[in-house]
Formats: sequence, structure tokens, C-alpha cells
Amino acid sequence: MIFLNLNWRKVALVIIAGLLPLLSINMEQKGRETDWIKQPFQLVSGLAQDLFFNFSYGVRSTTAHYLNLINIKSVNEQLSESNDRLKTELMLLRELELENNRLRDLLQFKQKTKMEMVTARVVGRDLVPDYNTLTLNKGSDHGLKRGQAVITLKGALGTLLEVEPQRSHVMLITDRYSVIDGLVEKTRAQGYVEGNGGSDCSLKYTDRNIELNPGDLIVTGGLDNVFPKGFPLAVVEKVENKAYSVALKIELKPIVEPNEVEEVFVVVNSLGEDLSPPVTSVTTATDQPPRTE
Amino acid sequence: MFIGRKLVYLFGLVLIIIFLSAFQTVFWFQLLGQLAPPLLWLCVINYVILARREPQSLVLVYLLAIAASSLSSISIGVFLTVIFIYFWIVVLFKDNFYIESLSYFILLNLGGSFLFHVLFYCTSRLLESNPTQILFFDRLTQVLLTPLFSIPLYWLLKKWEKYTKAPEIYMDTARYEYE
Repeated sequence: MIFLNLNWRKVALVIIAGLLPLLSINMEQKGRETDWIKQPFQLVSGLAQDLFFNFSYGVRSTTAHYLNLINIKSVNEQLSESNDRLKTELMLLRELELENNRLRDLLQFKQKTKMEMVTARVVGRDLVPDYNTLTLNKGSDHGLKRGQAVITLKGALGTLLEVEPQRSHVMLITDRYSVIDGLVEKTRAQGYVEGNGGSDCSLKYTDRNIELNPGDLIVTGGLDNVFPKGFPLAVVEKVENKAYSVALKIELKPIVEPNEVEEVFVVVNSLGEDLSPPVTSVTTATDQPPRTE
Repeated sequence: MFIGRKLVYLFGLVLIIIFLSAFQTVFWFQLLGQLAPPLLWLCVINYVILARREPQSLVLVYLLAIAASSLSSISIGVFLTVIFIYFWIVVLFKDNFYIESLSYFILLNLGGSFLFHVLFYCTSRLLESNPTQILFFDRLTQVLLTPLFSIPLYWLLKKWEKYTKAPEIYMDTARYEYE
């Protein structure tokens, strides 16, 4: 319908379109209820929103997870590095503690005894396996001489074989040329401890009739005035008493393991030190009171 | 100049053998305890026997053996006797069969370390009042380890020869010529 050159149909549509928002505002002021016209759309829009929300949540959580992993990895690396460093420090501290304990024991031993001793460190061993010797880091410049005894806290190690100005070689008691006088601690029977060239030694020239069992301790005899008397030498491993043999065949295992020795004492002067346990007095017939009748 | 180069070569060899012996007696012992070390000094001696003519190589080998023995309580008489016999056996072998190669050097060290132990054991039994023991596992370990360690030593000794321009070179089996 065209009147006054206006298409009134179009004008009516515009007016209705303009009034609708005003009507909806009015309806909202009354009750705040969901507009009926929106409800079908709300269902679909809700689904669409859920979809996008889930998707974005997934993206966010994956990103956060990934970022966390990177962070965790970096923290893990730092902690691992720190852990390794602390483990190394702990190991060093343990070593220092062991060394400290060892040195304290050495010092206490040195203070208790009247022997004149020089401490030395084991630095090496012999070039060929046929000679059981160790190299020390002290020599004639420190007062050492050939033939002096070398001991550790546990027991006797050997004697000085060669002495140079700054180092010396110790012949272990297991060396095939080593001979040291020994005593069976229990029975005080004498003999000679000779090395076999391997990792053990033997007790020779003992009385055939002595009582000896595996586990018995052999100590230094002190006859040569090189070793202090009564110092542990070796432990009996095996005793063989053959009918046709003149003496017992006694195999010994040294008290001191050469592998485990780090610091030693070289006895410059034993001063007659006797480390044997004190002998308890024995009652004799003359000590008994006379009988009265 | 010729004499100078020879002296430098000789001095270097002595230092090398002392250094290797110290490694064997101190470093190896400190790290690995009682595990028998390879006979590094024997590799140097084997190389000298291969690379030098007989009269002078024997003197050189003696000198190197004395240098190595400074780190041991070994009797010089027994040691040089063993080295003397060892030297001529290796020379005999070399004169009949020689290939200038690393493989040959490795094989020589394998056989040589075994031969040395056998000779030492026999000589000790004959000459010493208290002879040595068999020490099977220690000797076996040394025989097996020595050829392995001879590989870098071959390279080192070759480099030293090249560096000092040592005058003697070997042409083929049993024949030598001075450059």
C-alpha cells in the first residue's frame, strides 16, 4: 500500500520490530523469568557453550599440564643435580670421617706406647708379583733404616727391606724371604713365622708336641728387638701333624691385610716394649702355709 | 747431532719405562688393590728388541730393565739373567718371523709376558734359595692384560721414534739399515 509515497507495510514492520524490545524490557521488570521466545534457542546455545567450554578446558588443562611438566622437568633436573652434589659431599665427608677415626686411633696408639715410631703412608707395591713388598713415602731422611719393623694398629706388617732417601720398601711377613720370630700366645711356644710367597705364611721349628688349634693367635717373640714383644702377627689356619714329620705343619693367615693398609708405623726403636698380657701369679708349694699337726 | 738424537731417544725411553712402572706399582695399586697389573715395562722392552739391532738393543734393554727394577725388590742378578735369556729368545723368534704391524706387537706381548713368567719361575727355582711360587692367577691376569695395554704403548713408542727421528729403521725380517 503506497500512500504519501511511503510503503506502509514496511513502516509497520519497522514499528513492530522497534516495539518488541520495549515489550521484552517491560516483561523482564515484572518477573525475571526466561523469555519463552528464547527457550528453544537457549537449549542449542547451551549445548554449543558446553562444547566450547569443554574444548577450551581441555586445551587449557593440556597446556597447563605441559607447562607443569616442563617446570617439573626443570625442577627435577635441579633436584637431581643437587642430590648428586650432596651425595658426593656426603661420600667425601664419610671418607674424611673414616680417615679422622683412623688417624685418631693412630695418634692414641702412638701416645700410649713408649716405642719411638715414624708414621708413613703406603703408596705402592712391587713391580712383579713374586715379591711381596709395599712402598712407603718415608725414607732415610726421616730416620728410617733397613731392618726396622713396620706395624699397624692391628698387627705387624713386615720389615724394611730397602731404604732410599725419600721412600722405602717393606717386605711383608708373607714374602718368601721374610722370617720373624713368633710365639704362640696361648702356650708361649716359640717358632719362626716364614712367608710362603703368596698371601699366607707358616710357623716353623716349633715343638711337635705343642697344643695348637685353628684360630690361635701368633704374636711377635721380641727376640730380635725389632718388633715389640707380644704384637699380633698371624692367626693359625691349619695344623697338620704327620706321623713321619719332625715338626708340625702350621699354616698361618696374617692379621694385617696388605690391601687394607693405608698408614703404618715404622718402629725406629722398640725400647724393649712388651705388649704381652700380664702373667698371673701361680701358687707354688713353698708359698703354701706349713701344716700344723 | 746424530749422537744427540740417540741420547734424547734413550733418555726418553728410560723416562717412559720409569713412568709406566710407577703407573703399574702406584696408580694401579691405589685404584685396583691387589689385582695384578699388566707388564707395561715389558712392552717397552719388546718394542726396543724389535726396533733395534742386536748388540745395542741388548745394552738398551739392560738399561731399561735396571731402570724398571728401581721400583722393585727384585734381585738384579736374577732379573738380568731372565732378561738376557728372554732377549735372545725374542730375537730368535723375530729373525724367523717378523711383520711390522700392531697385531704382531700385540701377539709378541702376549707370548712375551707368558715367556717372561715361565723364565722367571724357572730361573728363581734354579738360582734362588727361596724360589718363587707359581702364583697362577696373578700371572694369568698379567699375561691377559699386557697385550691389551700394548696397543696404546705401540702408538706412543712409534710417536717417540718419529719425534726424535731415531736413526735406525728396519726394512724387513732380520735385516736392518741405518738411515
